[in-house]
Amino acid sequence: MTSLGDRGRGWTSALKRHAAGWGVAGWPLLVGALITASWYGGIVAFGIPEYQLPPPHRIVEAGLQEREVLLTGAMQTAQASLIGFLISVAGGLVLSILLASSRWAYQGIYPYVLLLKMTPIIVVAPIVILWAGQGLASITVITFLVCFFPIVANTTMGLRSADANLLDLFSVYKAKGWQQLLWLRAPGALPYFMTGLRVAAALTPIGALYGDTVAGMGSGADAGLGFVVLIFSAQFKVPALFAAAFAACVIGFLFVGFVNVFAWWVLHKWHDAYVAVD
Amino acid sequence: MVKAAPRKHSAGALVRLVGLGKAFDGEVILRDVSLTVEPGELVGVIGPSGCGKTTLLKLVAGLVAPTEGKVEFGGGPTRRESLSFVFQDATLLPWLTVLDNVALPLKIAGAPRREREAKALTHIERVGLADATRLYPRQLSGGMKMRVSVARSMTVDPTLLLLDEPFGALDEMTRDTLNEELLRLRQAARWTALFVTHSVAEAVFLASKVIVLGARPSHIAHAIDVPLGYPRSSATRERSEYVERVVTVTRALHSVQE
Ligand SMILES: Nc1ncnc2c1ncn2[C@@H]1O[C@H](COP(=O)(O)OP(=O)(O)O)[C@@H](O)[C@H]1O
Ligand SMILES: [Mg+2]
Repeated sequence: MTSLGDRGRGWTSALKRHAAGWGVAGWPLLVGALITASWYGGIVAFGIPEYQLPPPHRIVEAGLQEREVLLTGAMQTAQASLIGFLISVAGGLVLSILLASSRWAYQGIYPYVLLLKMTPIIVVAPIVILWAGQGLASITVITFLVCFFPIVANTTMGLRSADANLLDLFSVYKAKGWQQLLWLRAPGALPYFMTGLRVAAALTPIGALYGDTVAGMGSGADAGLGFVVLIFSAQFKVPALFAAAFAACVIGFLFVGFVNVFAWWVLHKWHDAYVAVD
Repeated sequence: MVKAAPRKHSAGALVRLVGLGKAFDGEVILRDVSLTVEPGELVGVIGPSGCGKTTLLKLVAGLVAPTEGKVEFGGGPTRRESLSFVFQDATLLPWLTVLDNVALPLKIAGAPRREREAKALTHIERVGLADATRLYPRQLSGGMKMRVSVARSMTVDPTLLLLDEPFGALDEMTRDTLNEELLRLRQAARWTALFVTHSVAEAVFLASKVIVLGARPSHIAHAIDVPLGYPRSSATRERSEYVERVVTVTRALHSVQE
């Protein structure tokens, strides 16, 4: 609000509003322009050859040239990511509820979840391929393995950390176990679950791309983005390699963006941390 | 009318604590606490911090099991089912609106939606929050949250109300107002209460009897009747009997803290 009696403050607040408008689109654009300029500048100044750092317009060109391969690759990867992600969400929720249901279940099972987490995916991947064969099934399983743990760890912690007074409240009114889980533990675990979801969303494309590079197959329409990257790099198509990196970046961005919007939509009404963000 | 002597065993007692004792990990917190609460009484419990006041309420509520003695619920319909607990913090579910928070005990009891919402609304109106029904806890002030908490405790039509320093976190003005409102609610609903406070003024204003717990292991050091009758209002605080009891309780409290 601009108050008439205080012109000075009105002026600064107008400036601040202006600056805030800038912040959304202006600053990123400006920084982007600076990066592009120094990119070209660097190539000219240091005489960097195209096979090390292609100029941006060559990357765009290559992207357009290879658009079919890139697009089908991206679709493949997005599909594997999505399926792996959804399975890990569903499986993660079921396991978390089981882990939180009793102390016995937690102490008995959680060490093995940890063990699974501690085993590097690079070691597990060949075994997965041994069982599920080359192709989408293996890639999905590898994606699943990568994003399963953050969901389980966070959700379990959320389910187990209900406020002691709220638990007492439910006891005073003689709540049954399922009522306590459904109306107290589960909603209380939502912010934790969302945190797990965000971490998993960021890991998902990495899982799918890695899965591609070890279990991907075929060429053209069957190849995921990870496989496309392998081909480009073998063919020394450097600008196209950069374009593929950009495509992977877009997939990751979409995943994380979607989860963030979802988390905001679910939590903003009551959860302080999600109230003020963007 | 106010009954005297905490150890008196009358047939109409609502709750009777008999030689109640509690130890945590071998450390005795409460020892030989015997107390009879008659229907309609408001018993205030006051004592040094950490002496076991909250533990005492939780023993009565059945949230904690005694290591010695027992809690008896008097003859007649009063069992633990008709008991409500008001916690020190409002203890609201942040993801529920005021309406849903107040209706929660009824939801747990399995009341149909229409019925529990109608009932919750009545109690929300009684604490003066009719305009806040759709708000979430984070949108409420501390005083409003406590009002919601009180309204929630009323929805089950409790015979016995347990309150643990219910307004302790509020400023004095708000606290006085809420105390007056609480007594007004009691005129309509006639529950019996066992409440904990760290404010002598609050204890005397609300209670028909004030229990002073001694230092650990705690027992009942003093039981002081407050012959003020009900209803009470802000004018009660100016009566000489009120002021006298405040002095008596303050002295009793000092004597146990030495
Ligand atoms: N669940 C518990 N386990 C172990 N010690 C406890 C537990 N609850 C309370 N205590 C201990 O009992 C004592 C009395 O606690 P409390 O009843 O909360 O005191 P007050 O309400 O009078 O301040 C404290 O020393 C506290 O640490
Ligand atoms: Mg306490």
